Parts: sequence; C-alpha cells; structure tokens
Amino acid sequence: MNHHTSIKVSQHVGTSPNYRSSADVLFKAVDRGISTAVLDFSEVEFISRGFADQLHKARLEFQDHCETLVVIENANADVQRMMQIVAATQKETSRIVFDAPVIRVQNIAEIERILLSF
Amino acid sequence: MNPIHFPQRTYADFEQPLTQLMDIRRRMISGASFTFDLSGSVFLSPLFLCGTAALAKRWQEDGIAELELREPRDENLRDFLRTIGYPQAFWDTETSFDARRRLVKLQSRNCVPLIGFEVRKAEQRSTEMLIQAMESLLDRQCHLTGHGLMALRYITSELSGNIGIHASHGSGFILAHYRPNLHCIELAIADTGVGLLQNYLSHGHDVATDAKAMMMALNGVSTKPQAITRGFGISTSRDMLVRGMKGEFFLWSGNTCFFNNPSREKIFEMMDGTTFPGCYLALRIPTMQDPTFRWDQYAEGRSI
Repeated sequence: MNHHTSIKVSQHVGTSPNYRSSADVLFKAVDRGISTAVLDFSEVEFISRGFADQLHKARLEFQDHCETLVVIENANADVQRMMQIVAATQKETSRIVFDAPVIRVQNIAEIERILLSF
Repeated sequence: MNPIHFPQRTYADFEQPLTQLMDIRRRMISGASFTFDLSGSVFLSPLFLCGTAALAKRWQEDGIAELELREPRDENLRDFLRTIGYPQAFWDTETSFDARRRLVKLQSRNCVPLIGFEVRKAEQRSTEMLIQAMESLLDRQCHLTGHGLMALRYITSELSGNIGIHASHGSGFILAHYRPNLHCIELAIADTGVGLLQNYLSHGHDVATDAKAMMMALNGVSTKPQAITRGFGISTSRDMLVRGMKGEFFLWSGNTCFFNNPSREKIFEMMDGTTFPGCYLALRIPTMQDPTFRWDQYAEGRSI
C-alpha cells in the first residue's frame, strides 16, 4: 500500500458542487487499498456548505475504514474557508435563536394591513 | 374552466407580489380546473411567477387539472415568459446541449430560465449541473464579486439543495432575475413536496402545526436526529441575507408565512385556509454591498 491516486474534483461534480450526494460521488471514484488519495480542487470555484459538510464526514470515514489519507490540493481561499467553517461546527451546539411571535390572521388582507403599518 | 385573473402588474416592493401570490392561491379552489388568465398583465415579478408555476404543477401532480394559460396581450411580457419557459419550466431531463444553448442565449439578459426538476432525482448529476449552470449565468449577469458573490452562492446552494433533501416528492422550481434598477437579485425557490410540517413529522419530531415547524426551521433544527452539523441551511442563509446583506427573505409552507427584512420579522398563521402545498422561498439579494460585509462571519451559524 504505497501508491496514491489523484481525483480531479471538477470532472466528477462540476466547478461549484451544491449537493451532499456529490461528495459521496468523489469517494466512489477513489481506488481502495492505496496510501494517499489526492482530491484536486483546481477549477472548483465554490463548494456549498452541505457539500463541504458531507465531504468532511466522508473524508474522515474513508480515512478510518480504508486507512487512506485524503489530501486536498489546489483549493482556492473560499473553498478552504468553507471547509474550515464546517470543521469548526462539527461539535457546535449554539445556534442562532429565533423567537419572534407568531401572529394569527384571518385573511391575506389582514397581513397586508399589518405589513403596511410598519 | 375557472379563470384566475392575474394582476396587471406586480410592483417594485418585495412584499406585494407575495401577497398577490397568496391571493392567487386562495382562488385556486381544490378540485377545480382553472385557467391562468394573463391577458391583462404587463409585468409580473419572478417571485410571483415561480410561485404560480409551482402551484399549477402541484395541481397537475394531484391529477386535478391541466393548466390552461391565456397569454398576455402585452408583447414584452409574452416574450419574457417564453424566454424563461413559464409556466412549464425548463427541466433537467432535457439534454445538456439544449440546456447550455438556452443558457448561453440568456447571457445578455437579466434573467435565468425557470428551472424545474423532479425532487426524487434532485441530487442527480443532471440537476446538479443544471443548477450550477444557472448560478454561473446569474453570476455573469449581476457582476457580483468577492464576499457578495460568495454570499449569493452560499444562499442559492443551501436553499436549492434543501429541496432534494426535504421535499420527499413532487417538483422543484428555481427562478431568478437580476434587477439592476433595484440593485438586487430576486430569487424564488419552490417545491410541491411535503412541506416543513410533514417533513419534521416523518422524521419523528413532535410538532403539531405549520407555525411550530417553521419556527424549528428558522432556528436551524435539523430533521435528521442527532444531526448537529445539519440544519444550517435556512437559518444561516437568512441571517447572512437579512442581517449581513440587508436583504429580504420570505418563507411560506402550509398555513404559515414569514416576512423578514432588517426592520421586521413577522410570522403569520393564516386561518382562512390559504396554504402553500410544499415550500416556497423568495429572496431579494442586494447587489450593492457594505464593504465591511463578510459572508463567512454568518456561515458558522452563531449570533455575532
């Protein structure tokens, strides 16, 4: 187990992957039994938070189960920042608190009146 | 056929097209066939159009009615509706060649086509690629850069991605329009799926009303049990848009709707039976940015 493989991310999931499932697509393309898998993010402009979160989980799982180190390469600053954000919130419990009151109305006209009154 | 007359115009403010959409929904009586009558219309907001396209699709999915459309007499609106593919939408099942050709033709315009996709297939490569092409077109049209561009991409990816995960069935729709005179992008995302309440119920949450389900969604409560890293989609996107970018946000599911801008947070529970069957989101995303705005300060989901 001493060789490595490189996966060009944009060829598999496009240049701005949105979906969580797209992260799983990447790891399906990685050969088992190798020492290092390189995910090459060149040409990737943006990754969504969901994609980044799933990539984080899938990467850790892949490293554990396959004993393969996953390396990120050529990721731009925004892609790296999104990865940092999801890594920082893996154990986060504090959230934005939203507690505005619910206003019961009888019809749409009542909504319009309230909206116009502010 | 029950004719439903569309308004002559929707106005420039954010909220009026949304209450006009509610009024259309109120007039769509369950079980009845109907005609969308646009003959007297001259301008209709994409926020209004996306919502009505989703409602029409839901009626068709329920086997209730085929949609009939009476086209506008106004030539400009007729041309615009044909360009964006209203109300039938441009579906991800169409070939990638056609998709790219259609999108290229729109590069010099201020709109992207009405995108439609099957919720069950939403996470497939064809939908992913179509939505990426739509986002790319929008980027080129509005010339956003830096943190503003990242925020636009964060918000559109989080909110459109939610459909595939949470709607369970039905169809998804996305429509966006860059409005240079208002210095904003208007973006609507709708689905004809199960809605917030049913989604939480189906994942074992104890929730009884649409209003409670909406509060949970706005507080970032994930439908997935023990999923502490999920559920950020709506809550962080709303915070980034409204508090960070000074934009406007609207969410409607079931009998509950939420209007939010920097000066108001209003959740309404409507008791007259006016409901949205699925989820409908409307956003107004400013394209002129406060130079101190940073998208990443809002993405972590903490109050700043």
